[in-house]
Amino acid sequence: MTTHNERDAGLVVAIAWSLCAAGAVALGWRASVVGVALTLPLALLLPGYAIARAIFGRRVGDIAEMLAMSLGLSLVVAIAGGFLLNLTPVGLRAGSWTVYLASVTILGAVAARARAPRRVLSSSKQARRIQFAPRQAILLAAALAITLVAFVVANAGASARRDGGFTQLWILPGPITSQGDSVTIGVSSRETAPVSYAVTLSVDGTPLETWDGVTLNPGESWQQTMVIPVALLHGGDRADVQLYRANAPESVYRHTLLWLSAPSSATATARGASAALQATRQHARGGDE
Amino acid sequence: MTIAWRTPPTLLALPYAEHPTTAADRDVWGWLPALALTCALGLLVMSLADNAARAGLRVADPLFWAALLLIVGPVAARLVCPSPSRGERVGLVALLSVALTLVKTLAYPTAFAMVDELQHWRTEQDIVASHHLFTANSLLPISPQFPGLEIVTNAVSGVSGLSLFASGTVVILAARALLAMALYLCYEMISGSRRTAGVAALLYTTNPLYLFFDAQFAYESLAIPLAALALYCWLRREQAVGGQQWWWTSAFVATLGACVMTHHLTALALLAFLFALALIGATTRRRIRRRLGQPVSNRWGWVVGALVVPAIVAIWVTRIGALVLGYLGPSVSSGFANLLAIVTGHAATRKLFHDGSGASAPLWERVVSMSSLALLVVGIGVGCLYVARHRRENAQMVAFALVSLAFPASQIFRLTRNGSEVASRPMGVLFIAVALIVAMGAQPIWLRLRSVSTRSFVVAGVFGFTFVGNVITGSGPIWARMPGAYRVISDQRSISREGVAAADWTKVYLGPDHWFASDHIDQLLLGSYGDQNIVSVMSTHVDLSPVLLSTQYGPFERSVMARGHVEYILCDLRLSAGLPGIGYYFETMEPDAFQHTSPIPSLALTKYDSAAGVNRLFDSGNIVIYTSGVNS
Repeated sequence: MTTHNERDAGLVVAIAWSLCAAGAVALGWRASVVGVALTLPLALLLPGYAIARAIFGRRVGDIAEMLAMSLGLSLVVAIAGGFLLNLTPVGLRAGSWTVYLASVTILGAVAARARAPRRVLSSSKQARRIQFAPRQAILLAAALAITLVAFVVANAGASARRDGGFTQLWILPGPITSQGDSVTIGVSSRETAPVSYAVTLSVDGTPLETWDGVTLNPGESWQQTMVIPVALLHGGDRADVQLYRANAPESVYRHTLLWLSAPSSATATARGASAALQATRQHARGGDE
Repeated sequence: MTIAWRTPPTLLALPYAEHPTTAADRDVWGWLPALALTCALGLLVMSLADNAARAGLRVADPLFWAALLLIVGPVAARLVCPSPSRGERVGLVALLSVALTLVKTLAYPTAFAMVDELQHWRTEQDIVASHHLFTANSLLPISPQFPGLEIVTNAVSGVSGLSLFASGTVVILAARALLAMALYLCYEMISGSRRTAGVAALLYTTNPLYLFFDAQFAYESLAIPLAALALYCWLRREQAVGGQQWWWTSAFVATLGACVMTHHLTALALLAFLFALALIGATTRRRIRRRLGQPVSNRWGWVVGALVVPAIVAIWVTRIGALVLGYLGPSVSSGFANLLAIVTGHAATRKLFHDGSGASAPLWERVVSMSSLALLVVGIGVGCLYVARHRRENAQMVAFALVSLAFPASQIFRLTRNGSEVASRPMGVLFIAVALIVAMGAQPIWLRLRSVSTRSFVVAGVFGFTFVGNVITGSGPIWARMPGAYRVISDQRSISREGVAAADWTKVYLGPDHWFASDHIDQLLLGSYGDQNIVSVMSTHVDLSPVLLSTQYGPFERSVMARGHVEYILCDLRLSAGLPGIGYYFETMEPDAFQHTSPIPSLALTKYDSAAGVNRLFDSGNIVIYTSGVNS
């Protein structure tokens, strides 16, 4: 037989849980196992449960219906909350979401408690106690464990490298100074093993600089900024950067080019990127994965 | 674990109710834990199949089907049995729904990979970055206007701290569990039978889009469960009396509102469904309620049906009507035009079971797919006849039967090139009716089998056959079902580390929000990973495909680029290695779209090397990024 007090325990748990979840967010426990376990029900179950109890009272007593309504109304509460929070200057953030979801849960639970009639509601003919037998619990635990193994296997397969790797070469224009045009050249290795490179820079076919023995491990980058002297620029010049692998020096592995001091919009467009580059410029050598 | 269980009063009140057997309800979970184990084993086999596919092993395909049958077969066999309790049935359909959702997750367990997922991921990232809604998304301009999925994902990610990918996966899993439960409750309420409800919820999984398309991180994946719950609230309010009717009406309106804010087509399909329910219900309700001794008064029915529902849809659609029309209109109109042209002999039908590159499906897949489709159509026919003979006084059942007839009608659009996608999108809602009617039609047949074990075996076999056939129908070409090696313009199979790294590079070194021209796949990567904007027919109404397919970069090409304000061009040199798997490289309206007979010339991809004023900024071997060389 299910009594009034037993049913209200659900509301008390909902309030306590939402407060704990809010505390977990406030304490910075988000993304931890405990934090996720506490906060996921706050987003996907508790607001709907409290509201379902508030608007339907005890008439939604069946577990399937209550679960469906709790889940569904939680989604509805979240969607409505998104539109409401969008109207505020704070917007959709972790803090505003926590306050909103916890508030809805607590207010809903309080309203449900206020609506509850003070009598025993469920008759023993309709309500039953249902328990997992130990054998069933073991089977469910085994199912969960096997599902986790399936995920580990899938993750291992998806993370395995089968593409053979690649290397990125880039050139970006820097600011024009009285000394000449500056360019930034970068190489990033996504190969599967350490690779030695040679990088050459030429202007209108005239070699200007060569960097030999640039060895990068997978995930490492190399970057160099060069100023091309004004004396070499005649208008409409092009800077070519070629990348060679040390084990195949006869063939160009990667190639980029940049038009220098050209009044064309192409350089202007490319120069627009230099502002972004300033903010993200990396050290001459450093891992980026 | 202890929970309270109570037979819903509505079920007890129905004339067709199967009252619980004491023995069954004493062991509520029954075989559920054991079948959870078989589902888990199926998922393990599926993960092995995916890894085999990644390695290019031929065993992947048999493993894939074996894993699916291991997941659905035992559950199907059990749901047909008379003995499971209500709790076990609800648990089984929810278990099956979650397990089948994980099939898609196991294929791509580390990141969003499907086309729609990347589009919605961009909207989600914009919300995270701006903390507000409605930021423009050039990948799918309509997506920010229907932000239900992204809002819920943002809430989950916000409070839990999980990544957007993990949060999105959790939301989809929760939504699919909700879908299964809501469908079961709907079916149980209408049929008055737990077994029919379980079988109908099982049959819903034969929806061709169920396994992959409706399981991805996209707006319909959340909207369909909300639609199912709205439908349940609607049905429940018709059973409710007194003040409860008002509360269920409120729940219905709230759920419908959330559905409308989440997906346009699902909301429109639900509206049509509800209209059919209201219309048929109004003509028969009074007579039936009198006979059943239920209250006749239902004044809120028409208020809700005729005013509130269309008002909610109209308000939202009006707000963004132009965008919705611009998105759906061309596809719908071209689908009908294409169909008309086929009927009048001015156009050929689409080649079924062929992908965009001309590769065809194996014979057995064609046979199973068409046979399962025929089974469904026959099932609908038998079900409608059964309803007409035995349940014609059940207005809801009659409405479901009428709605289910739209399924065979919609299949004709599969013959059109442009209409098939649009016709299939409302399938999630349409199949709610199909599943119940087929279950109603099949029930008298399987009940003729006296032996329970024979009945389970036969029904599980027929269901498995139909399920496999509709997975083939819905998933498309073989390459779309499992991960694997790179393929030219073949949706998730075209996403490579190199492409992702290039998109990442643009975000870091060029900065976000530049305007790019690129192929269909790299558009998605640039827009999602790279945080860039895409020039396309959908986003800026500029068709760059003639330029991108051209082998020269002259004044005309530059003028088109200038018109689109293109700043950068990303070229994937692998495109010239094969025909596009989906039928086009850049736009659906490009020259020779869906009719390419030879790959794009490599000169079309490298023509910028010799163009004056065009910088070749980036080279990673297969991917090269140029400046457009035009004023922008």
